[in-house]
Parts: sequence; structure tokens; C-alpha cells
Amino acid sequence: MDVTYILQQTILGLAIGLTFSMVAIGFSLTFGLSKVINLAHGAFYALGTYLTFAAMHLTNNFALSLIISTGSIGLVSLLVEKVLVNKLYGKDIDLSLIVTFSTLLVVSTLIKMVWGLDPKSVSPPQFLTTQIYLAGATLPVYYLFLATCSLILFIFVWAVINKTMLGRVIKAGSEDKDRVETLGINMGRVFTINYVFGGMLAALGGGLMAPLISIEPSIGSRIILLCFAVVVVGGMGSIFGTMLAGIIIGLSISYVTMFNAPMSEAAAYLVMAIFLLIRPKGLLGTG
Amino acid sequence: MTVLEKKGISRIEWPQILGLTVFFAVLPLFLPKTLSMQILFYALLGLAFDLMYGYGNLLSFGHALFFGVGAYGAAITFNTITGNPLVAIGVGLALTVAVAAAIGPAALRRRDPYFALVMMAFNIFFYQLFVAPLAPWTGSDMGLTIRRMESFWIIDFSNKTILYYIMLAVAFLLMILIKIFMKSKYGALLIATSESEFKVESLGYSSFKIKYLSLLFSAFLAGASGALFATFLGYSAIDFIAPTFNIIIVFIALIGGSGTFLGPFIGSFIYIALTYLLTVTMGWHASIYLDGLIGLIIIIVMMKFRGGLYRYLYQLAKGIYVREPMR
Repeated sequence: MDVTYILQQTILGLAIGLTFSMVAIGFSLTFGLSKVINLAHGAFYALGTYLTFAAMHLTNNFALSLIISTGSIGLVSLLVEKVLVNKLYGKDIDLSLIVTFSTLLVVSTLIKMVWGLDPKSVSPPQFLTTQIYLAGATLPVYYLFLATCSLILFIFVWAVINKTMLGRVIKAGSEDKDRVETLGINMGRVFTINYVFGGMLAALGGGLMAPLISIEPSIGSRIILLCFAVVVVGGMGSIFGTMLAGIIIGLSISYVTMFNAPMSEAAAYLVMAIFLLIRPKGLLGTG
Repeated sequence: MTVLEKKGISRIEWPQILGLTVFFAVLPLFLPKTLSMQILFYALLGLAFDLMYGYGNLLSFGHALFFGVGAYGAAITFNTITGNPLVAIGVGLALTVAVAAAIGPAALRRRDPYFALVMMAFNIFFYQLFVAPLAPWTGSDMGLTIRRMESFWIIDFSNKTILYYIMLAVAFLLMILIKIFMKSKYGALLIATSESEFKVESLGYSSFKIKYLSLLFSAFLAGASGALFATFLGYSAIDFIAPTFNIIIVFIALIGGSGTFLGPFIGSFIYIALTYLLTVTMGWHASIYLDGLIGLIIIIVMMKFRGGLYRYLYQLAKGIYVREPMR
């Protein structure tokens, strides 16, 4: 176990951790605002990776593929929200858990029907496949690219939530939905915008992760639990908590991979269990 | 405690239990024994899940964990320690309850979205543990075949017919146990915590202890059905502990009607019929579509017919459904 390998795994952990937190933030925002646990979020992530794969096949342009997949997931999440999820607002949480989990399964089955069971892979553009040498260690540029992209998107989300009118409405709506409605704001529309925004973030995260993972139909249900672990560790409704938690989960996954690769995801759930025992409201959570 | 249990026994709906036992006793005349056994034990698993969800309003996406640990615990004991079925099933049960006791404090920390998903996370944790690091004992994703099974006392365990009726007798006892639990103080308190934990606390009971006890009992039931089913099959499949099994458990409990005793039995029957139908019509590819079809049915049931089939049939027969007598 040399130092360079540890450095490499650290950068990888940071990169995937930031991506996890980017996917998790949409999940967390939907729960905070509309009190719906949206497990279909994992489906958007999985569809995002698969659509990136399909678009890469057609256009052979990574950036364009990301835009295509994110845009189409925007439409898909709009459809899901209009048909299914808007009937869940104000209902029991167990109802939304069961219904959105079933939606995730239906989408996974559709993926299996369209793309088959065998794993797929995406290769990133040429200039991102090179490696750089830092302090004697070899670092794939893609890790750095992923970390930078996620960080930029994270700052964007933070700015939207804290600096725009929409963000203020979302924050206020999380606290007291009825009182915001008395101000003449159509909360139903805000819910929809929030949901589609989260879905597109998940798709973008999926598209960015696509070159690093083997794309399988089950990635949707795996990412949703990792998202949940991130949200539990970070605390519901805290943006920076989610980012910190993403880094913690990402690092624990990449470090455990060094010792025992098959147990790497299980390590993330162990971290979550420990946090639930010693700090149930999360790192920076309020409630 | 004993007084309460005695009171409970006198209030058990015997026709339900006896009717079910007779039904499963004659079922092998029409279906293969393995299939009838599967219906019975999946239904008991559904009841174990429903104990938490239908009565305690604690949705769990992780009961496959208990079923799988029970099944694997029994199978591993058979293969490595002893051929005695009583010991093996006992070890399976003890392991299941130990696992539930270990994860309970973390899982029951908070209610709904947390409990359901934390249970699923633990399920995946143990699944990965079983697939990779414990592979020499569990046989990884190939499942585990039980290699030796001794006859016990005068009972020949290699005879499937005798085994079937022994299992049915044990299942009969488990059903009585469920009824006793539901009629006892703890069953009532579990339902009360689903309404308001705050009020239960103000009556002087610890709501955590009630939920913890229910989880242990639920795990015991799920583990028992897992260990017994694996013993009957002579095989423990990795599907028993796989996280994808959970949606099947949810399906079994919900389609029959959660919070009812007969509901999971109806659900289990429908699940087996559905798999059979799919395999017949689609052949080998059926398992690919099964998840999606189950998901679709669950969405429709949850959005339109939340009461489930049992309540619907009851209403059809009696004209009105007030509520399950147990609740």
C-alpha cells in the first residue's frame, strides 16, 4: 500500500463523493419541500447514464450527450411528476415510499427491456482520458474533471437556493407551505419545478459518472440508497451538510475499496448506521 | 404476562387458523408440495412484514434480510456442524434474532423514511457480506445446497410428504403465536405507537421498547419461515437474502390487504400464480419482467385499492367491511 495509491484513491473518493452529493441534493430538496421521499430519483440517475451511453453511440460527443440526456430526463421527470408524484403530495410517507420504489423498479425493467442485461461502458473524450503526474502519483484527469464539474454544479445549486426568488420560495415552502401559498404563489408549480430540477441534476450526475462505472440496470436502486446515506449523514435540508457527507461517504467507499472491494458500498451503510446511532439529525441538520 | 397470554388465547379467531391449516393440508392434492410450501412460508414472511407495516405502520424494505439469515443459518449449520434439523433451525432462528437485535437500535431511531431505507441498507450490507467475504460458507450467488440431514427421533426427514406435514404443524404453531402476540398487550401497544408515539409514552410505556420487541418478533417469524423453507427445499437460494426480494414481500402483504391476517396468504397465492403464469407465457425471460410487473401492480393497488383484496372480497361477501377484528 504505497502513498501514491492512497493519494489516487483520495482524489477518486472526493470526485465520486461530490457527485453523490450532487445527486443527493435533488432527493433532499424534494423531501424538504414536498415531504415526498422520491425513490424514483435513482431511476432518473440510471436513465441519465443509459441515455448518455445511447447518445454517445449516436453523436460521439460527450458534452452533447450529457445535454441530450439531461434534457430528456427533464421531460421524463416532468411526466412522472404530472402522472404520479403529484397525487402523493400531502399523503402518508409510506405511500410515497412504496409508489416511488415501484416506479424505480418499473423503470429498471424498462431499461432491461431496451438495453438488455449486460453491462455497458462509456469512454470520455480524448483530452480527458490522459493522466497527470502529481508528487509521483498518476492521476487520471477524469477524476479531477468530475470533482470540478460537481463542485461548479454544487455552487450553482447553492446560488439558486440562496440567491434567487425561486430558491427563497423553495426554502420558505419547506418551512411552511400554507403560508407561502397565502402570498399568492402557486406551490404546485414550485413543486413541479423543484422535482424536475432534482431529476435533471440526478441525470447529469449519472451522465458524468458514466465513464467511471459499468452501466447496469441495477445502478438506480444502488445510487438511491447511497443518496439516502449521504442525506442521513449530512442532515435533511442542509446543502453544505450534504456536500460534506458526500465527501465522507465517497472517501469511505474509495478507502474500503483498497482493502476489500466487494464490501465498499456496505462501508457507506455502516457509516450511515453509526451516524444514526450517535447523531440522528445528521452533521448539519436542523430537525 | 401469562395471564395476558391466556386471555389472548381465548380471544383467538380459531376458524381462521384452522381453516388455513386444513386448506394447506389438502393443497398438495392440487399443487406440487414445494409450491404449496412456498405459498405458506412466503405468506408467513408477508405476515412478519405486515406485523411491522400493517399494525405498527413501520414500513420495512429489509425483511428479506431476516428470511435469508434464517435460511442460510440453518443451511450452514446443516453443512458444517450437525445434521440434526432441530439444532439447525434453532441456530437459524437465533442468528436472525441476533441480527435483528443488533440492527434494531440504529434502524428504529427514527420513523418512516428512515426505518424503511435503513432496513434496506442493512439488507444490502449483509447481502454483500454473504456474496463476497463469507463465500466459502454461503456458496456466494450460487446458493447453498444442504448436504446432510439426519432423521430425527422417528421422523424421516428425507420423505417430503412427512416433512410437509411437520412443517405445516410448525406453521400452525407460528400462526397461533402471531395471534397471541396481536392479542397481547404488546400487540395493542404496537398499534397505539403507530397512531401516536407521544401518547404511548405519556401512558408510561417506552415506545422504543415496544417497537424493538415487535421487530424482534417479526424477525423471529421471518427467520423461522426462512429456516423452515430452506430445510424443506434442502437448499438456500441467494434470492432469499437479495434486496430485490423485498418488493415481493411488499407485494405479498399489500395486494392481499395490509393489516389483515388472511391478506398475506391471498397475496402469496397471487404472487405464485403470477410467477407461474409469466413463466408459462414468456418462458425463461419471465424473471426479467417480473419486477416491473409487480411494481406496476403495486402502484395501481396503492393508488386505487389501498385496502387490498381481502377487504374487497370481505365487503363483497358481507356487504360491509368495518375493520379487521384483530385491529
